Amino acid sequence: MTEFRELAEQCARPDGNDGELYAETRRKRNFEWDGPTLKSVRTDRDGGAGLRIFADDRLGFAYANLSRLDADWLIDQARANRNLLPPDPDEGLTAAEPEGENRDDWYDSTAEQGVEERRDRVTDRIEATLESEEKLRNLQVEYEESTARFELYRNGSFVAGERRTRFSVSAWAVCQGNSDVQSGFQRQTGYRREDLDVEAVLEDAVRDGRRKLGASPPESRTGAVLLEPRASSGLLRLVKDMLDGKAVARGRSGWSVEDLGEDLGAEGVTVLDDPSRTAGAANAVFDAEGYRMEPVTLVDAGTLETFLTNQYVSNRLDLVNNHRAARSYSSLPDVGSTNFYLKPGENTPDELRHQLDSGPVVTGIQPGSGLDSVAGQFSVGASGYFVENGRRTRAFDEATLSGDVEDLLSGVLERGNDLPDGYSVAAPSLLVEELSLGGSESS
Amino acid sequence: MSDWTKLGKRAVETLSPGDFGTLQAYVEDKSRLKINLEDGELDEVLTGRGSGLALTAVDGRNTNFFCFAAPGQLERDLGDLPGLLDLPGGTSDLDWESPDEYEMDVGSRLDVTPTEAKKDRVLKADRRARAVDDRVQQVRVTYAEKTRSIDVLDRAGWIRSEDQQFVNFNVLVIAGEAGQRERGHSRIAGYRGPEIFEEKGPREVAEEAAEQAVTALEAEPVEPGPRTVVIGPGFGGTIFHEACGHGFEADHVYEDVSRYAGRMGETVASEKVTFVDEGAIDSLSGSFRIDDEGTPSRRNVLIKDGVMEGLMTDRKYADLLDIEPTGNGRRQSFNYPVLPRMTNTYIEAGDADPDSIVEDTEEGIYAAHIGGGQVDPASGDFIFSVTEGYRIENGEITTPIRDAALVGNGPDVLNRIDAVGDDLDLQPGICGKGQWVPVSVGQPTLRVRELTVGGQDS
Repeated sequence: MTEFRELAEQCARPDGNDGELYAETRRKRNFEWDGPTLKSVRTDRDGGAGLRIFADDRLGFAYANLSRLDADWLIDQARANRNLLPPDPDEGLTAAEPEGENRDDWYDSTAEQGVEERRDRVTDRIEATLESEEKLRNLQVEYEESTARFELYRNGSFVAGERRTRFSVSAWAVCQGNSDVQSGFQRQTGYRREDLDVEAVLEDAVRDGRRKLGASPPESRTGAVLLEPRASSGLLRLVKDMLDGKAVARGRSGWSVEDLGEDLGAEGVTVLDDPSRTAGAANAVFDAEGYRMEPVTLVDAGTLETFLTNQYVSNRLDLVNNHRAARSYSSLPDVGSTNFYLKPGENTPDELRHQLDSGPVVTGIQPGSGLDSVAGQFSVGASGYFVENGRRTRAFDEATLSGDVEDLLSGVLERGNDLPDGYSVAAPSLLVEELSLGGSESS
Repeated sequence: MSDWTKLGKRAVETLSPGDFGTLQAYVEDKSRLKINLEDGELDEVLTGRGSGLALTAVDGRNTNFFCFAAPGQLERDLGDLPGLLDLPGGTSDLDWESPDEYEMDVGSRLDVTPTEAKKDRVLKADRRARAVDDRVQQVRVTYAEKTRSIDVLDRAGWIRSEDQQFVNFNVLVIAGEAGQRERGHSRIAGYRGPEIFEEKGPREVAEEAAEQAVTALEAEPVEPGPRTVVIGPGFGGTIFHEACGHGFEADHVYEDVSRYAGRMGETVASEKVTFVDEGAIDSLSGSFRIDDEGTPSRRNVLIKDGVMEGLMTDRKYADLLDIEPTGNGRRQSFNYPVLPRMTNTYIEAGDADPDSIVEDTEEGIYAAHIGGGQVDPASGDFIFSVTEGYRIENGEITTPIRDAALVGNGPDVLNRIDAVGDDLDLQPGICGKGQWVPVSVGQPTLRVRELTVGGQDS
């Protein structure tokens, strides 16, 4: 189905120049529970189109949502905006080969029907969890199903289109001890409803909150740290931001093209972006410029191989385009990622705790704005527990975990086999040689 | 009357009251302009527009929400509201001829200024930031303006707020030296016309950002541990917004996930603390005449001299808690249901001289500028980055520090405030609660005894 063909034809070749129309529609069903009570049901439909006009190395852009779409208005606005910009030889409309048809590879048609049954199953799971957990004061759950579709046209001709589904569930568990209140969180996303394990998400959220009960700030220390997947995945976002080719091109990344080929991590560190990863959370066939995406190895056995790029960034940095354009109808193509992850190892979490022997295990971080991709440093909130002789002792919170990206990547001693499913940015447990844990007192 | 308004009117007339509880229609029409400069080049000028309708049916605790960006979508989605499209409109005895209009004083219209002149402001800021210091390596300047008109229709009437206009001018600077790179950031924003630049021009915003980045280059890492922290006026309000303010939102209180649930009338802060949310102030980032349910904005005192005195609520939670709506029902756009949200939230000025607060502090940290952070709303535990900070030694502000983070618990911090200055300042912010709305945060100079400062061992 090509819903926007007529508009694309009206916007083709404005003033005899090249024109590109990116159009999308989105539909979302969302349910929220407060304890066992379904408190909110949302049905959200949105969509629109953005027009890019290109001439004389200058690119103009305008957009409208579905209710305000008008070819003449889009052309007038995009033309006026183009006239305000200086020429940029790296700019251009997509040069992707036309694909001829819409793709449905990551679309689950069950999203179109039976949502009430799935909603009721979530309600049942919530009730069961509330009944079985003594220290659970409240459980708030959100379940969402969404379908998004985009179509891309160049000079009125269809280039590419794709329809995708996303199913997600998140849970926030408020746990209460004797005089302590702590909360835990968990979320999972997949393109098929079968990918979601609602029971596990609820249990993980409760476990996360429960294990923080009775925690106190740790003594400040620097040394080996075991990062569980929530914490390592959170810190991997810093690596993702630094590998964003747009940030590199604009001098906003701690890395530059001069770092390509350099050893930035331990041999065990391989970082990939894979649009077709099994149990991924952001699977896709095309990027937002209509190019077919393939898996990209960004860091290979510790060596920086390339950055995430779109067409503009690859021109600007003189790198191969690995097709990671991301956008909505109301924005210009930026650089994005799909399923971005650090390759897992062979160790079980228990083996890693024994290898740490004595020290902190960070189970979760609060990144806040503490991931500084310009300086390549991080200083984030942290909670977790200590192990002594491989055995768990006391819990800690109100701590900071800090270091730089080299401490993190070069210091990876071992990797776990517990790469989580259902995250767009994911890392397994990592045993890191030396990071700073800040707390209430210096040891 | 627009097509959307007609449709909203028909929904309210035919379906309310009924099996769906209280039904309210919300119509939004909006436009946007953005100009972006980075790496010395103007790289983005975009314009956009949109409109849509939201229908919200509230029945006790349950909210049933629909939104539409194209009229044809109603036919596909309104199976849960049967009969809407088939029933004749205009059968109500309500007066639907004209809306009650609420206008905010936002100054001159933004669309009178040519886009070329707005572009010049962006270019000026870039030039000024680069002129501050040779170590400035990268500058990003963003000018953004949004305008919107809203119509709220329900059985009580039809309310309109037209031509709300919002300006946001943002400068990010990266400075570098000997392999070290640091960021600086400054911003002005509010429901204003071009007059917003009369108080602080593009050059001044750029200078602030550049000086912050350059100062950070000269800063030293701070040793982690507990410290006395003096928080400079304005940006520290972010901590109190996030770590305390959300706990006064009525949904969190009703659902018993707030540290302040069940504590009305109790002492919850130092007696020096009066904490206020006030949407009725003109021109700030969280200002409006009516909220997104048509309730007039007002001043809400949350804590008076340390004692909990009020909440912030939309209509749904006002009904559930049997209190008056407070004008805090807000939404990001027609795509989102209303939630209880903050507006302009601040700790009121005290009577202490800000300089004397520093002079009376033998040793500690002066946090001049606080950036983003994160909070666990249930416990109030927080972490915030100090983006511009200094040591206090023997009652004087001395050397700059970097990589510092403030870690603590919001309700506990409110109890450890032992000095409140007379220099209240409010700054623009953005608040996320599953959806984003502009807010203001603020406070005068404050001193907090014993706050954990995280950082790296030097």
